[in-house]
Amino acid sequence: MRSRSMLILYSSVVLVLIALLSWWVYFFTQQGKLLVVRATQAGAELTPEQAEAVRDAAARSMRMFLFEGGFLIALLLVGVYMIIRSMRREVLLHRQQRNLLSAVTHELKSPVASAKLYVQSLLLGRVKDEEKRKRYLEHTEEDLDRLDQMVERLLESARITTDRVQLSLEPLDLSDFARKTVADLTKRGDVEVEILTEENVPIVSDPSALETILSNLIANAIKYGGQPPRIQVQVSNNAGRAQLRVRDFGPGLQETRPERVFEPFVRGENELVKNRPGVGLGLYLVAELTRALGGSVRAQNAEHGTGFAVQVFLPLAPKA
Amino acid sequence: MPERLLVVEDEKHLAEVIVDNLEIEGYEVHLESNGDLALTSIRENPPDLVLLDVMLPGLDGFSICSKLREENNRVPILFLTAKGGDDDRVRGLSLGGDDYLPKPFDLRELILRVKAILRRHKWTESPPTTGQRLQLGETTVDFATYIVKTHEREIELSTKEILILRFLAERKGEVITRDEILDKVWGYTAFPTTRTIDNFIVRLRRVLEPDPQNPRYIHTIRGSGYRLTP
Repeated sequence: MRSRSMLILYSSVVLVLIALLSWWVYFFTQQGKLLVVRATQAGAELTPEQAEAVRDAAARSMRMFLFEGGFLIALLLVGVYMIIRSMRREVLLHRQQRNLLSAVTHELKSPVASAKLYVQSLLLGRVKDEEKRKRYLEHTEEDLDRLDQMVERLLESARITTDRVQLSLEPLDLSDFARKTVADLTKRGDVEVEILTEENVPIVSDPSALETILSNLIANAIKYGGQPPRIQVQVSNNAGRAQLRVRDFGPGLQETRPERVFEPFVRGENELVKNRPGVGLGLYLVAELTRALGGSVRAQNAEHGTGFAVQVFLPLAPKA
Repeated sequence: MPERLLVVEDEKHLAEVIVDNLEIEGYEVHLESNGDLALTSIRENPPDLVLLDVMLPGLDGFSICSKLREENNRVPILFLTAKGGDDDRVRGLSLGGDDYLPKPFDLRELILRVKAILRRHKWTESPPTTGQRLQLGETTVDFATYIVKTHEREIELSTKEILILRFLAERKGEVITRDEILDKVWGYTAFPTTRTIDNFIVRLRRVLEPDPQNPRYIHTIRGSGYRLTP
């Protein structure tokens, strides 16, 4: 690893500097004592006052050297600390990027591999059954959808990290919006959804950003929500803020710091999560978009029963 | 009896189309989508070939392969994986995998590789057509025990060494190219290189030839390959 050898190089340079400096301080502190000894050896008859004056001067310069040397060493140590800190950050970033690369590779290549085999099977005329041909085409379409979602998510996160999010705000009712969007997202019917909404939770927000937030939360809940997945969506007026809460009934998260799920490319540590498709961008997008909308996010395991819940808090619309 | 294949793949779509196509080829195909279950299934009822994904729920593909090889289970393994980097390829093969296909792969190539591995495995498992022993002057090679006896010593050859020698012996008197040896003994192209063959031949000569500098049995045919004349 390149950064490790750089770290070793920096550290050795710093060590050599500290050694030189220590030697330098030591050398100069010895000078004063040496002066007196030399003068005595040379047979000079120093009066006690003169000897005292020489010793005094030596001690003064010794104090000065000690102080200057100590100051320089302290400065160096601060420098070393800064270097180590930035190196550590670099290593972390490097690891994150490697995680991303391997996850993205898997996520992009799996649907491509599958779609390619379906299309080739059809092209090579290996499927005689009409039913099966239709099924192969449907699977190909699903693979392409999955690929499209993945690309969309990557582009979205790239946009968020490079530009400011462009918002077009409009007044809307979060309850109403959530009911419609959730119905739309789960219309394939392979998931059990419960929607609990309070009437009239007015906010001023960006519908497309909200939709991305909601769809990522729901996709996440479906993914980890057990078999068959069961999720609960709740909209409420919570202490002067609009609250959107999406909860699944899966095994929850075995993580000491649940808020880490909002960092990019971070995924749960257990085997169940590691082996599920995904790159760890969904909740990062949720957090970034919510922040852009002036809100905040929170994640924790459900208090009653199993499951994992993400809460999104948004400011309520000012009363007219 | 059709050959039994085990596909270990957790991506449902991919698994279905692979299984379908192998069945069209006339194989008996089973599917596992979990690493731990796959390992148990291979141990209890070893198939003729395992098509093994690397990223799996439970035990991953690399661990399955190394566990089997530690137990001396020689079931042929074809790795299928989305990680197409060279590192993964080398890792899979050095753990004892027989071949490696990076996703996405070509349907025809998958079928060809499967056939090639099965053919090779059948060859290595069958008794040599030369009989169990090969006599080279005063030296005897035993293909079953891998032991070479000269009048002064006994040496055990490695699997690859014995397979190369067996291939040359089964077609004695003919010129065999390095590529043919690679294909027959290793099976995958470009890894290792044909240079590797030369190194194996040097080792074989040191064991078998009275004077390795002037070989009497294993001859180099310049520009093409090797020939064995007993």
